[in-house]
Amino acid sequence: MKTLRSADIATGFLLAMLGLLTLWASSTITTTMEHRLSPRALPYAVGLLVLFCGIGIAVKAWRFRGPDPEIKWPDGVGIKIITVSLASIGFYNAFMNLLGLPLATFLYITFSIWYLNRAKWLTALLTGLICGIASYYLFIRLLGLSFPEGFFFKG
Amino acid sequence: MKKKAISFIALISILALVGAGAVAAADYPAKRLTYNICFNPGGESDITARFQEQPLKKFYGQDVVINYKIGGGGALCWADLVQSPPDGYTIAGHNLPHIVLQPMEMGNAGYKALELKNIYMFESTPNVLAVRNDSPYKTLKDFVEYAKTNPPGVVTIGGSGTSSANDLGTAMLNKTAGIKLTYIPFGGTGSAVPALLGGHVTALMTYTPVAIQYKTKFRILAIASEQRMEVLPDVPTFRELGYDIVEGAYRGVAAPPGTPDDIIKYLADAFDKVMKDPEVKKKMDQNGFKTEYMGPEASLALVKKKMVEYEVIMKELGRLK
Amino acid sequence: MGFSWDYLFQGFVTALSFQNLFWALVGSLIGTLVGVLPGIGPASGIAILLPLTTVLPPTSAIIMMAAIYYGAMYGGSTTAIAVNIPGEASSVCTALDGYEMAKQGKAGPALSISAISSFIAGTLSLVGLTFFAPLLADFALVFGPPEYFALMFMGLSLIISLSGRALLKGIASMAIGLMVSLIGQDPLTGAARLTFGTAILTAGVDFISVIVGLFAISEVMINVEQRISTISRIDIGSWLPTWADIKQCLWTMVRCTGVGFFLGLLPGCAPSVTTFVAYDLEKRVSKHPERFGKGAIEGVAAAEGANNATSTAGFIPLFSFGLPTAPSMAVLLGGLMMYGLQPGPMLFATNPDFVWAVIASMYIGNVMLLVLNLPLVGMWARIVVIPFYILGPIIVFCSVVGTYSIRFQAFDVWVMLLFGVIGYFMRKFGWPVAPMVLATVLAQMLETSLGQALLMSQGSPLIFFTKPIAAVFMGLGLLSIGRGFWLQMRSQAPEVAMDEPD
Repeated sequence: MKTLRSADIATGFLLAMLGLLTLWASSTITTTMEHRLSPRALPYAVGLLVLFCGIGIAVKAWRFRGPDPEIKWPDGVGIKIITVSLASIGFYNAFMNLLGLPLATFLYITFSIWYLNRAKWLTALLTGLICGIASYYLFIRLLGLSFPEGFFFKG
Repeated sequence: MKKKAISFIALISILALVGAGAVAAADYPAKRLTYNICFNPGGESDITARFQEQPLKKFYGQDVVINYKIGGGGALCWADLVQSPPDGYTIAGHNLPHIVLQPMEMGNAGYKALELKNIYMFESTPNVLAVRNDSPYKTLKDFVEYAKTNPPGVVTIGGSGTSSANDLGTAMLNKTAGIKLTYIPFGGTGSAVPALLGGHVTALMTYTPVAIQYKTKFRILAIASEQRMEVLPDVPTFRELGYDIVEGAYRGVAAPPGTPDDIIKYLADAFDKVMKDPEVKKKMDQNGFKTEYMGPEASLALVKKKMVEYEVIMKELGRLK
Repeated sequence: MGFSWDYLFQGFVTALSFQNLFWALVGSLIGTLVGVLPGIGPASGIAILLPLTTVLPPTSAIIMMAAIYYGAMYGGSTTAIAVNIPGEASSVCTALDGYEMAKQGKAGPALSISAISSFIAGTLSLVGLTFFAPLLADFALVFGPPEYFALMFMGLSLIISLSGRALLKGIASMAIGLMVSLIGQDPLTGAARLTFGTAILTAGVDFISVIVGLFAISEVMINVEQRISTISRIDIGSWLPTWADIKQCLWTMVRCTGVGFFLGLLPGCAPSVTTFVAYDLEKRVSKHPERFGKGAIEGVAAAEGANNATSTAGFIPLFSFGLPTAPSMAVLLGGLMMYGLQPGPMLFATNPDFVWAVIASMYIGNVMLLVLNLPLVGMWARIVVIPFYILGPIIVFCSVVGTYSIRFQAFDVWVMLLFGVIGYFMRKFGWPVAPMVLATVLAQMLETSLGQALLMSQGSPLIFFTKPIAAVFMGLGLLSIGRGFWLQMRSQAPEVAMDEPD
């Protein structure tokens, strides 16, 4: 997947697979009601569209002979940063219920800023604190949204 | 390393669970109540909740926040409710016939009707059959005649949603009158109204609030309640006219399964006082909502009764195998 | 509600009272705050804030609610421009060009032009509302299911021009968008579709999480990968747009007001749809359509103006028939009922003093928002020079909070994350993102109206061509599709597949 051509072939293929999956999933839709527009009709149509688009993109790229632009993939460090960043968002979300919004926010912000710039640990800590506390007073107290509060703020 | 992390997570989860379970019913209510609304802001459920909000704060004794959990025609909200901690701090509005029909029709609605613990049923909105003011149908009889002179399916009738009280009411009318109206479902009561105003459907099967709000534009041919309603004294019931149709939506509140009975009772009392508040009653009446006063037992009995009724109807309609 | 100078004058007297001015100001401020938060749209924003207004007399309360609504509509553009988080589907077009401008150090002009365009479109629409409401009201009712389907079909055909030269990828992008919106219950029959038997998918995928993922999260990924220091690569220049900028946008503002206003009269035609139509129109009439998506100031002006015109026009069916055109209108209506006012066609005939006070307050609210926001532009514009190692995590924090608050479940945040990754690859492979967003915005109405129309016609698709209004829109849509394919064929050559979208 170094160049756009290979990437297009790969994504086209994936898309076609997705189309097939959609078609299969559409065939399992059950309904007991009679209707002018069967609930399967649109999923079938969209599944077919996705399938044909996938095939189209792959075939078009396959037949392509010309200057093939290279894709700017990140270097090793870039991949690492992206992976860690995504994982930390994942953890933020996964532990939100357990830790509560304020604490999870504090941990996420502090970690992420520190990770992106190690020298700025104090900035990280302060920003984390501000966001954590602000999230509690703004979202939970003032706006009364039902975010998980976590054990620090119970009651 | 991994093992340690897992056992740490497990430990925290256990602590959290123990903490949640240890809420003593004696000092209830110790914090604010979250009242989830399962339908769009501005809909019937939301409007009722807004009427209740201020007095509910007073009778509940703590702050009350109204939140929206919208999706799957309410299923998202109820599936979420049965997963919520049964500590009495999370409740949700619930509706008949939705909570009965969804688990019946959908393979996996995420909840079962009897899992929802009834607190109180506070209102009902009977079906009404509405046509435009300038339409030639002055009575239900005219309308049925018109449907009979046309090929089956040509006369259209709009309503809110599929498998709703509107939908069932139309099906019952079709059956008892021996006609075939084509029911066209809309996203909500509000979006069905312009279809009749603009003449895109011949009639609406809708709820009483519409009859009140649009009394200058619509003519109400019949109401599907047992007796005539005070706010609509001139509208005959379907029964008076010889069609045995009593159908409508009921709205109330429910708690997660396993909520202690004394907490349910506390909440039911609070809602009872709210609904008997003259200010609330006045607003409900004005807007065409019929107030009901069914505590936990009475509303559970209603749900059970409706479960039997709807199963028969749905089988007759061929929508249930 | 017939027009009379007396009523309007009386309305201004009421609205200009110190108390009402004060509450309008408070409402604008709170509304802007709510609008800045992604996920909490105007509808739930107003609903959440309704209890705050209960201490006020009805007129002040509804003035405050209207101000919250206006403020929220405005606030959405700020995050879209400064950090590429369109918190609402209606801010997506603003983000397309606004964020590009921010990257070029022109966040100030982008924010200012969106304020100015909002103000002009809002005020022009108010004039329309004031003088022509009774004439225009019936327009809202001529649209039934077949007409809506035709309109949505025409809307989908915009994808052709939104995808530029990467047509096949644009259509694929649209197809994925449609597929995502099909997940969940069929709106007409209630049948569960593409849910793989899970309860969580039965409730469907909310498009806000898709949008925030595609825009904000994928942008953060690209930025951390490249280890950029700030969003703006060059120094920020003036905060205000130049006269040339404003002159350039003047006709844009008028055109987008027209589009936004007339489509806004239709119940169900939300700003998310009209902003796309207005944006596309500008791109078509522009002498340099290739600049769109790369920081064209008219793009920002068109989207924001249409947004405001639509919101204002929505008050016409609300005042004339008691019909809410959008969820936020329904909440306003609910607010009226809380005060014991009877919604429906009679409300505004029986309470003219009240209606005109609200209309007058909307003129004032528009001015207030302009005065309030222009000085703030300097502050918002500085966001782009905040070091990205601080800004990035905060963008994520806002996105997570916003998507979580849609339905208060972690699932929506996972969806956002997934679409962040998808958006990242789409950028790398040159796929246009806008078609996917447009598809998710239109899908629900498209399929609902299709199903309803077919019920009306007993299954015959001819209904879309025998009704005159529907036929016009279907014709426009088909023409636009045909033209797109013809241009594609003519420019021929397989290398088209390799082009970046323009």
